Amino acid sequence: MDEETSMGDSPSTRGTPSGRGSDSPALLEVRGLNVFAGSRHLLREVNLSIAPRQAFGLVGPSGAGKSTLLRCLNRLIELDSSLRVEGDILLRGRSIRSPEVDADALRARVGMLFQQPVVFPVSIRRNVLFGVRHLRPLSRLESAALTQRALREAALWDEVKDRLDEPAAKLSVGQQQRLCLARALALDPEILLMDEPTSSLDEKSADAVEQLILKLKATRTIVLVTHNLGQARRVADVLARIEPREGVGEIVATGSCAEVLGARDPAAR
Amino acid sequence: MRRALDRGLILAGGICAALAAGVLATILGAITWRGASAISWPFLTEQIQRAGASGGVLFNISGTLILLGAALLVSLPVASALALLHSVYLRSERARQRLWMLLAVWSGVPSIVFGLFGLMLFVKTFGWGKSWLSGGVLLGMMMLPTVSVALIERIHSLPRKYGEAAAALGLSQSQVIWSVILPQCANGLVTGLLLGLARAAGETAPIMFTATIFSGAALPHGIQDSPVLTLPYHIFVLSQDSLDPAAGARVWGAALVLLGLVMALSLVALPARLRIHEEALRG
Repeated sequence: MDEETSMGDSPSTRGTPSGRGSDSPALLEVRGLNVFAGSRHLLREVNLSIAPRQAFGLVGPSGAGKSTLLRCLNRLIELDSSLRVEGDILLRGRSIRSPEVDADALRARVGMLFQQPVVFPVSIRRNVLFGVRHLRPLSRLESAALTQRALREAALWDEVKDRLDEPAAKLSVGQQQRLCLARALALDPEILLMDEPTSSLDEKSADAVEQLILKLKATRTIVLVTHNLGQARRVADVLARIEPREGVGEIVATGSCAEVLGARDPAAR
Repeated sequence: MRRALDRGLILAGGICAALAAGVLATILGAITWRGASAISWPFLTEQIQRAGASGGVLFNISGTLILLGAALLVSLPVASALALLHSVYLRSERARQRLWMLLAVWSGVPSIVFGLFGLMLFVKTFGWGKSWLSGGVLLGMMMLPTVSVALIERIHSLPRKYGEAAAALGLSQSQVIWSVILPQCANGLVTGLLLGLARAAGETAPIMFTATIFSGAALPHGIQDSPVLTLPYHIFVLSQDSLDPAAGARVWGAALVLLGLVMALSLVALPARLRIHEEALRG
């Protein structure tokens, strides 16, 4: 894993502390991104600039291409050979789409949370370490410390600390989603992509995850896809709205929540 | 009218199922009835004597197990590789379909043709002679489609989300295969292997030219020119050639032992198969 050469900066030099807002230098920049499925155009000319340590929300109707865009950001989209991507995505000014960038190393540094929690059929502990132990060898001590740190950061430690070796499938769906978050956090990613992370959760679990996002954005950059405008207002610093135009997803507005959603949307939760 | 049709279909299905069960029960019953009297401790622990008229089938059992072991070792890696090629590495639908067709054709090749092929290639060209190695490799080749298809279907039923989640954590493709796909699909592999072995255990045609003789062999002494005794060939020869009435009951005894072996293999596969169904239901 030559993440140093492929990604440039080491984690210690990551983003200088800066205020949130669109005027800080971009961490992630999307330039002229187009996605095609065969002859079908899915996303047209997407341009985005995402500053470090902010929660960047992507909103829009279902089918507009929010998830597709999100999957471009860690090149997960390449798993689907029927999709073709054009344009460029820069992380700290360096293209992540150039051939010399190792997609696996990139994905280890850009964590992702899916709509439904995906836990592997192994213990809670092994789930937390699932990604990181493939990246580098871990001593028992390191593993234990890392497990604890990740689970604490995902606000799950107190609930599972006595049963780390139980199957992860025994956890509730809300706990599973936080376990997935812990699994991503164990890799210490600088960016977290979240694809409607609360849509399969009950209200209480969804609140817990929202609180976590608010906490996490102090240290990490979060790109959040949501169709819940209330959630967008509560957690996002900057929003982009994607809507289909003639069947092709386009960014129609970018800015603060008030700018994109209007002063107050009474329909929002 | 529609209700009558429903009832008619259920009735027809019931009759067919009863027929199938009846045939199976008759076969099992007949073999057990005739074979049970031959089964005894010496029958299982002694070697063949007087051209099968007395003695036991110990080395026939060991020979069959040796062939199965070799077949297992051959088919496990090759069939896994074929399944991974189909489900993971081949990215074009066309290529996948071709591989699938190859497996379908392969599984349709008559076993006697495999036997001739093995005689030509392993026994003659490679110079392995009539040996457990020739027969084991051949049986392993015959099992390939069964094992591959079982694994491919299991991989196919594995929800995409697992592979995606693992890839999103930075696992490389080979790490995803070793940590996600193979562990979660191991039961499909086991099922395919045991089904393939159960069928291979009873095959006679592919091994009669390549691996087995009727008498005069014990445990193999090497890998070349080292034939073994086997249960199916024992049954084949005795039932065809023996004029000795004492051999009659012993044929059924050997058949019962073979049946027991095959059923044991199928039973071992059962828990793994049930688990697949459970997971398919849970999604």
